[in-house]
Amino acid sequence: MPRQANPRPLIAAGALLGIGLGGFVDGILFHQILQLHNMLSNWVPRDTLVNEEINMFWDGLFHAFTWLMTVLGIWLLWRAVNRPEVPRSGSALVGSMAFGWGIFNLVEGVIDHEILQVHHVYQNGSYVVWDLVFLASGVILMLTGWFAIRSTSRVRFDA
Amino acid sequence: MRISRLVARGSFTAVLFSDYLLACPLCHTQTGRQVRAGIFDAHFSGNLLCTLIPFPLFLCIVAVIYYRFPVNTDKAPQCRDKRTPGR
Repeated sequence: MPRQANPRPLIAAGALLGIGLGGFVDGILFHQILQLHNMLSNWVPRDTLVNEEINMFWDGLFHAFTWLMTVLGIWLLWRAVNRPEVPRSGSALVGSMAFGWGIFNLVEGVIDHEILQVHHVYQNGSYVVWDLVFLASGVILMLTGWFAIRSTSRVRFDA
Repeated sequence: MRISRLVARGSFTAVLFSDYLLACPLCHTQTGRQVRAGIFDAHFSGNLLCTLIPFPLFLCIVAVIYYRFPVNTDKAPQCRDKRTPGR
């Protein structure tokens, strides 16, 4: 007897993978290549080697947990693809990853930049604009992911 | 047999990581001592909390997606049999 499709495990796995990989983009692109957006840079300004290394430590801890999110995402994905009622939709997976990346930017942006103010995206000058762009990127990624998930032929959602 | 394997693996791991530990610039240099003092200071718990606070939230959001994401399973197409290869 055919089973009712349940795409939620796939979407959850994709979202967690998106959160993890979004965190890696944050860490690799912002922290390491562009050397900004470091974890405690608003509280411990990166103006000496010691402060730079202190920020590096907290960045590393953040990345370790980002890695953990990715591993959990892979595990969830593995479980999902082994369940017969879960449709294997590539676009739903990619869409949910974009959705997860957006969640990462939005949550990280609201908590770390706005509420706790441990750091800002770009510490020098007017940081508000950069923080807002970061938040907007989160919303755009979430919307993009949402529409990609909805547009898949095998998976439909309530409006 | 198992113990010798365990010892072999343990030794391999120890050799693999010993270089990192011995080279640890945080452990031996003056800067390293200052960095350690800066990390493990009175604000350590607060900094730890602030650094890790998004992660439980991420997991909660994923749990909500897993159990409550608005999916209309009535409209969704019936799914593959386990033997049928997916797309």
